[in-house]
Amino acid sequence: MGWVTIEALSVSYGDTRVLDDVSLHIPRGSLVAVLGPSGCGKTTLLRAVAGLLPVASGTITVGGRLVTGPGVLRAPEKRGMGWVPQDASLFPHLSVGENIGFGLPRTKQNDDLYCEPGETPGRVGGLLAGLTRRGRANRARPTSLLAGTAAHASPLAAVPISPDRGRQSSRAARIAELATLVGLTELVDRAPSQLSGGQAQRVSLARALAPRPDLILLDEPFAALDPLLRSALRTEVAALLRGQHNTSLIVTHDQEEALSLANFVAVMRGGKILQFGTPADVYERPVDPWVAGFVGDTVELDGQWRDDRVECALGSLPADWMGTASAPADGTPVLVLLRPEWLTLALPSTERQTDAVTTAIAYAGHDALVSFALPAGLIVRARVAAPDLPRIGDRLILGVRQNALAYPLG
Amino acid sequence: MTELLSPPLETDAPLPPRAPGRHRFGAPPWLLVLAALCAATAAIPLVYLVARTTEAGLTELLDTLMRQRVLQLTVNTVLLASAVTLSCLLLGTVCAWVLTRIRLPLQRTLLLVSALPLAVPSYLAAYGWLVWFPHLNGFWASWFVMTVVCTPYVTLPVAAALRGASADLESVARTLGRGPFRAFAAATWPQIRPAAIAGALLVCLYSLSDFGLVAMLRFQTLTWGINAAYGASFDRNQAALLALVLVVLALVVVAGERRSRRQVSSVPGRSTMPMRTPGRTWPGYIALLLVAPIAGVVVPVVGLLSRLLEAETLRAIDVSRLVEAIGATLGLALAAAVIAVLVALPIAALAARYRGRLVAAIEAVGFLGHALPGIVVGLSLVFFALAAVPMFYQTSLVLVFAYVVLFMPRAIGSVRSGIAAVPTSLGDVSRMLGLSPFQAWWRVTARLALPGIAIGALLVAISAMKELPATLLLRPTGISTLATELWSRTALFEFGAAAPYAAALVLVAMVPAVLLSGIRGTAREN
Repeated sequence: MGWVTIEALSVSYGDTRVLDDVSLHIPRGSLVAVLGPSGCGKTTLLRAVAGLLPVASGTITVGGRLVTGPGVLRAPEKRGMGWVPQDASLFPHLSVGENIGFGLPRTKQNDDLYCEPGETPGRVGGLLAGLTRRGRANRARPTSLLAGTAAHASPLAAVPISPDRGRQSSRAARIAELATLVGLTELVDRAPSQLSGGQAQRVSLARALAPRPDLILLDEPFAALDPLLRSALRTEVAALLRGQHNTSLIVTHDQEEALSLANFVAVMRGGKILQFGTPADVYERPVDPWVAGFVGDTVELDGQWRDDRVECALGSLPADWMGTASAPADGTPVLVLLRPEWLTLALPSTERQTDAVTTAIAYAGHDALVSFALPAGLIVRARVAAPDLPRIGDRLILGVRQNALAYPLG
Repeated sequence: MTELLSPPLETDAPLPPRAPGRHRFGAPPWLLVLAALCAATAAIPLVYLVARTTEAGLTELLDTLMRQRVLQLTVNTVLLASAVTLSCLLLGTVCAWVLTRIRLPLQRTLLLVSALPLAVPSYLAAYGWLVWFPHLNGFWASWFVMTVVCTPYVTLPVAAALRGASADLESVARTLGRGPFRAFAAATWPQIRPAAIAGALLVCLYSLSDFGLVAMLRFQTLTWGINAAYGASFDRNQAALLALVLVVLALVVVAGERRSRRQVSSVPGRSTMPMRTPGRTWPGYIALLLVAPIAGVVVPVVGLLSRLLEAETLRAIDVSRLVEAIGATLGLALAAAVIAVLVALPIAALAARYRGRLVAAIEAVGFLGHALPGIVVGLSLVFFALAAVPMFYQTSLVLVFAYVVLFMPRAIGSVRSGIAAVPTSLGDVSRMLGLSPFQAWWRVTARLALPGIAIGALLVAISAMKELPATLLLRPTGISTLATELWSRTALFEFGAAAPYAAALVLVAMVPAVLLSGIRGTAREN
């Protein structure tokens, strides 16, 4: 059983069934990515978990607490979940600091960050850090997260904080802590309109993390960013979520994002989960050819099953049977599936008959997808590292370095 | 001042696209019920009017309808409305074309100036002309003054559509061998036609329901007939019947406007129009643009000022009476603005976030006041108050209620766009951060929609200050607004005595207009 358990969840819009009998178990502290093409129901799944829409049937439990079930629909604000939407959705009328603190309990006297004259909210964390033993230790050993704020602590750090400001200060401290965590200490007083897309998304994440949720939900959080920023930010965010021991559910249509970020990937199509497993599982042992094609490039060939091998245009290859039933009889036609990077190149020799002619090279810098024409007239593509690239017209022998995957036809 | 022009046009502005995923589950029942109740208040006058007229029986109804007098009034009304609509359509389209296609000096100022006539209530314009030409009357005078007052209703949307229209299409038509006029007709006119028709139908509605102008210029239309029949007080059935005829005409026009709205389809393409330099003809173009502002604003205002500054007028100003009228005008307008926004809020919240037949129906009922002439609402509420709530008859309450019914569409329009502009994801986020639906609404949605809500209130206040026919019928004895004082002086040809009230009306109506441009300015900056 997972920390978050989704059982037989179904959601319908009118007569259209958007989620169909979806079950998912999310272990505590892990990052699970739901991967699927647009319109497959992945955002609906996230909204159902968040409690932002009613479900037709099924249950959702978080840490043993039933939040959605027959006759139970706990309100979103009572679920203890964090939500990071695609477009950051910062409150435009609040500053960055106030956005981060939005979900934190507020004191009676003052909604805003209270600051002494000459002190900025960003430094409150630093103030605290200077007063507590841990804070001092942090300052001496500047490796922990709070070290950043401690370094900013002003000479005012010696001013004692009156006890009635305790709760206020803890709120301010939490805001400062999160601002440091996402690297935006300098920007707490800015208006959201003054932030770049990446900064806004960090604030959105900090805001969701602030109330220490049991589960963080991220709805394509990097989709609106430009590609360079996207890959940098997602690595950072993944590290941050793991560092905080958060349980996270992220929705994405970008297979690279899902494979590189997540501990587990759930591949969705047409409202159903087709496969759930580690990124390597999903990439190297996809349950069907559609999943294989969705998570990466494929080489597909017709073949015949013969004694744990397949016979195809590349010769007789050792293969794994991927069908649901037991392995078929010898001679059964199957679909043979390889990844382009499983193919190896070798110079022609006399023993091996299979040779291939290089016909096209799609160059991508670090590597290239090279197309080869086989004697049978078929074209296969191999991923070749840049230093090993052949020239067009070169004759080569193709080998396979991993067991091929065999799927039933149709 | 140009901000004044937007109220009736604002409802035509396309709404920002609604976020998907929200409306598919339908509105919460409590909101539907609340919005339906609020919308129902807008339907009271019409429903009661129909009930009142059908009470008399079908034969009597048909009998009265065929009377010479009723037919004459109907023909006059239709004639005036069609003539004004046609002339406004022509003049407005040409003005819009000049404004967007000809490179003229002071372009931006010219656009502001061509919007000015909308700031002047029609009866004030009529008063201004009567000051200069006391014997002005009849069809042609009404047609002329009404045309210059209403032209901006066509000029502004058509100019906006021309600016948004793809220039590529016309260039393509030219390269395919069409001359400039045929290219315009083939390529550009279809793109601006919806805007032109929508503007023309607004003009049509305005001229159908106008009372002050035709009454001052003594051209007998249905509104005039309703007032006369009511005033004669022995024939209230006939007043109700005339009102019903007028409502039917207005509803036909509104139905036409709705249909024309649906035809809007945009063509992608660059919208930068090649601006023509006019050469030596530019004074001609400017003169054309200035016809409506001069005839609709300058002539009446100068007339007003000339009367105001006469020594005799200044001596005769009854200050306490003037102050009283200003107080009554402001108080009534304020009350109407607050109540109209409160009533509009549930309808706007529903329409901004949800879709469906029921939602559309509730919104349409809320917009009913848009189609109801002021005099009809006034008359029907007189009947309603007498029959249903006699203790409120002759109180300000019924008058404020009439304002709410008449001007609620303006409040709904701007509150709705204000709410729709707040992304639904902000609501989701605040729910996820621990806020209840009402806290989320209060701390986020309402806070961000505040400019839209304030604009709605100010639009209602401005319209209520200028309203004449319903105020005439419903004001409690002893209470006069600036509009009614102006009206009663003018009716007696006391143009000098009317001048202070006219001037005060212009000044008082400017206060919310200035506030309005301030709010719009800051809203734009954000």
